[in-house]
Amino acid sequence: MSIIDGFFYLNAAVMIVSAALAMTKKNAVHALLYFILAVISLGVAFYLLEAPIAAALEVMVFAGAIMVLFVFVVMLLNIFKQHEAGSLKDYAIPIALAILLAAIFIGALSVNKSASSLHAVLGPKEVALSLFNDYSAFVELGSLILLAGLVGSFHLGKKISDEQ
Amino acid sequence: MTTIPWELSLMLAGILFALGIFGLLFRQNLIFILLSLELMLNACGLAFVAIGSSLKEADGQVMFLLILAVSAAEVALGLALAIKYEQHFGTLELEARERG
Repeated sequence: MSIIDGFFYLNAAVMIVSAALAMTKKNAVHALLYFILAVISLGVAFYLLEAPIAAALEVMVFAGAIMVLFVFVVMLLNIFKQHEAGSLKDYAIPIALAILLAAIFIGALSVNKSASSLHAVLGPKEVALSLFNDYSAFVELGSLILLAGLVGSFHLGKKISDEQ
Repeated sequence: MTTIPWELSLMLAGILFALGIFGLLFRQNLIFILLSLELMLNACGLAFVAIGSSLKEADGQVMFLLILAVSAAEVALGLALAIKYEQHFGTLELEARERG
């Protein structure tokens, strides 16, 4: 068992704990922040699985775009409960999870650089060649799905503003 | 050269999917139901990427890109519907609607 395996196990523990907390927290904002932690940890898992472009897209699109959309909707609907600043005990679990995740990522980066195993990585070039040669129909399908989402959400939003 | 066995990654994906199903079945809030769906889609993406990485093929990551597009569209529509639901019923809880 190499050190990368150890990082993967630790990262899996962070991911499962934060996903379980996200599913069980009462407060919507807390649950969303734990889910963002789980998504970033999934990005680290992709990096450890030698899929760097999937890791980057996971962090950028899921944690950066989709989860921000969730947070915006929660703020817009004002369903989160205001509560006074808690003691240090309330922050212990999030701080521990975040520090552990940062340590795993920094450790994985330094280990991978020293091992210089970048030739085996399925990088953006391989993915792009496969995507636009073998799976160009999927690109069309994905753009159709995104267009359907755009038209649908625009339609729903327009109806809401007409009623007011 | 990764040494992570693909069984391990699939186990992790299965655990995440089970957590997502748990959230989907036991939460009554519409936001949390969408969040559980996101978790399940993420678990599917992890399975694809793990298998693609163990086979040394880029196809797994291509499938992950498609999952990303699907989940983005799903979240946009789902959250628009959630806002509409909240404006219509005044709450996001599904139980409250059944009672009232």
